[in-house]
Amino acid sequence: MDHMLHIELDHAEGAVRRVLGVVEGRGFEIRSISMDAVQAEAASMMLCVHGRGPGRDPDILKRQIARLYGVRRVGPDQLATARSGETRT
Amino acid sequence: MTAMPAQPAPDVTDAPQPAAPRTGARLLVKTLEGLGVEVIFGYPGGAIMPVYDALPGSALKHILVRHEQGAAFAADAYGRMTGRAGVCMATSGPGATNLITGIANAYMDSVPMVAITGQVASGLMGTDAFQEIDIFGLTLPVVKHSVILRDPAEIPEKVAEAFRIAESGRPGPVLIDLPKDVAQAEIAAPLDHPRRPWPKPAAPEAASIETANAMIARAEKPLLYIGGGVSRAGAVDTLRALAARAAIPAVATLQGLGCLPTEHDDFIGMLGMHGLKAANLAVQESDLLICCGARFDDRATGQLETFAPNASVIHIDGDHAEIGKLRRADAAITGDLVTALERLAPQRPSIDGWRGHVAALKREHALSYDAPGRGVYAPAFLKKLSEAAGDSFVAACDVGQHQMWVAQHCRFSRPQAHLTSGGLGAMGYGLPAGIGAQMAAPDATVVTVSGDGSIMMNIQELATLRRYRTPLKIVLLDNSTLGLVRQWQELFFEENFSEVDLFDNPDFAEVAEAFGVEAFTVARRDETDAAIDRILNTRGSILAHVRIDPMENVWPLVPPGRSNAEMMEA
Repeated sequence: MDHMLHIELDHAEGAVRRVLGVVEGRGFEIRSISMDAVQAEAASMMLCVHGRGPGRDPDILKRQIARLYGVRRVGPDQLATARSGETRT
Repeated sequence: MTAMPAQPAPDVTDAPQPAAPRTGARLLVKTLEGLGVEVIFGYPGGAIMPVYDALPGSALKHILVRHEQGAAFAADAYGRMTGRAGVCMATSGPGATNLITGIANAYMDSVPMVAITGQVASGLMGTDAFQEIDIFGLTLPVVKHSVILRDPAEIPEKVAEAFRIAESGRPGPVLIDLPKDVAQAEIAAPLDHPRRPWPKPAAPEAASIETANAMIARAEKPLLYIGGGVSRAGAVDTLRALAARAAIPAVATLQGLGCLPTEHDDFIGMLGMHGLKAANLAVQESDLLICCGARFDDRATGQLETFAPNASVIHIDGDHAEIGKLRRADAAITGDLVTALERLAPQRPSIDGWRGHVAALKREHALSYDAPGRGVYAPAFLKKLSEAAGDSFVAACDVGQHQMWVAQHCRFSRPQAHLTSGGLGAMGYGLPAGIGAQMAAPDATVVTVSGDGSIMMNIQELATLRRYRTPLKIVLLDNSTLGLVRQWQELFFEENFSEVDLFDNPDFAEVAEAFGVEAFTVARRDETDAAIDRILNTRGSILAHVRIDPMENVWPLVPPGRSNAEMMEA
């Protein structure tokens, strides 16, 4: 099953590959990526991910991404792109 | 005695004064001094040379190891002992890659560490320059965070942030990569940066603690399942108070050993693959697991589906991402572990029958030391050694059979008494870790327990031992084989003993003496007491080369992929 992740993160060196590394490393295949134009300090990514094999829980993945420093928010909702400066969940 | 966590750094603030121009490297050194760093384990080389140029005359004590992996392992042990980030440093390229195993070790066991690597000049990055490696990228999966210092003006703030991240919440390693031109740039930046104490983690939600307490009050067979997160959170005293208040039987993971003293009435022992039978049986029978800072690692749980099949789970952890990762939690408490444990089980549950049953299990399945033969019996040797050393005993283990014997048989008065590569299982940890631990706690009786396989992975650090006159004791259990692999080949690979015979080992006592370290060999059981006396009564470092039976196995054992209820015994 595919899962959508919407991730808001600080625009910092290595931030994107750090997130993508967690997704791949935790057993998910990245099916699609889109990223909004980077604002001054923040970036916004949409990922479609798919667990490699059974037992891959997207809710755990969200928390593993959320604990990265520089990740402001992880959620399924695209509307969140309109909000900025929120603390990480 | 041992340095303990969270001692405040000296308040070295020269921020208000006008900043004189200094190089980025000097700014780094001044920042490290300001953060209270005392010891750096490292090895110089091209790209990191500006930092080495800034070291003489600083307050930092640099320990020159003989391989960068040794620096990282020593820093790891220093971090475990003190609760403050151990610092290691290396140059770019091979120096940096040699740190990686040690960084990964710290990551897997949630140890605070800051690793500083030199990097080629900014303009050369990405050009395959000499000794250029993308260490930032290589280490991404095994760091809590990492940063490339691009601007010398940012050094104080970014370096302080690295220490804050490494030491707060769930600790872990942070990598700082420093390009050579940034290290050499002159800048008049103030030394203004945040200092300890770092902000405390958020308090757990009261509702989750109430839920947990209601579960504890209802439980008939509750069990504390203690992991390394307790000591990492500085919650050992709080856990001990909880144990005294609630009198709930307890088991511990490899990393949780020592949180309750080995001889504590309600402490059963280590659970898991090489855990005590009583501990595994108690887990399987329990109806409530109170998981404190543990992560349901496969070496602890065995076959996950059959682990504690009758138990509800209260999972208490500083890291929200651990909740439900492997085992569903019926109640989850995240945030500050100290606050959580303070508020847990305000009343003692009525579980006298269960406590009595657990005590009977413990008696029935107590370990025995009456092995036949006249050779040295390693479990008995290690048990006697730890008891003779007393509360100052610190074991720095390597990886293999000896590591499991230490966990099973030694007495630990505190979690810092047991330094072991748990998550990564990295052979070669023991000797540099012993050096790092001894630097952190000069008065402790630090004993590296190694094997003839493991010791060879970082044997060059005997030179470090000698150079700094570190009074580390080394017990080298030599069975002339890769014992744990041999054991698995015997049990699970139809005795196909493939590439485990180390018959051509050097004479380890002679090797130690060549490095200038006193050494002697023990081969008979009746030499055990005299050997332990000699080890503990030697003022400086000493290596005891202990020959043991190559056919000796670690028991009990849960076969891989099987339930913890299915323990194999001798």
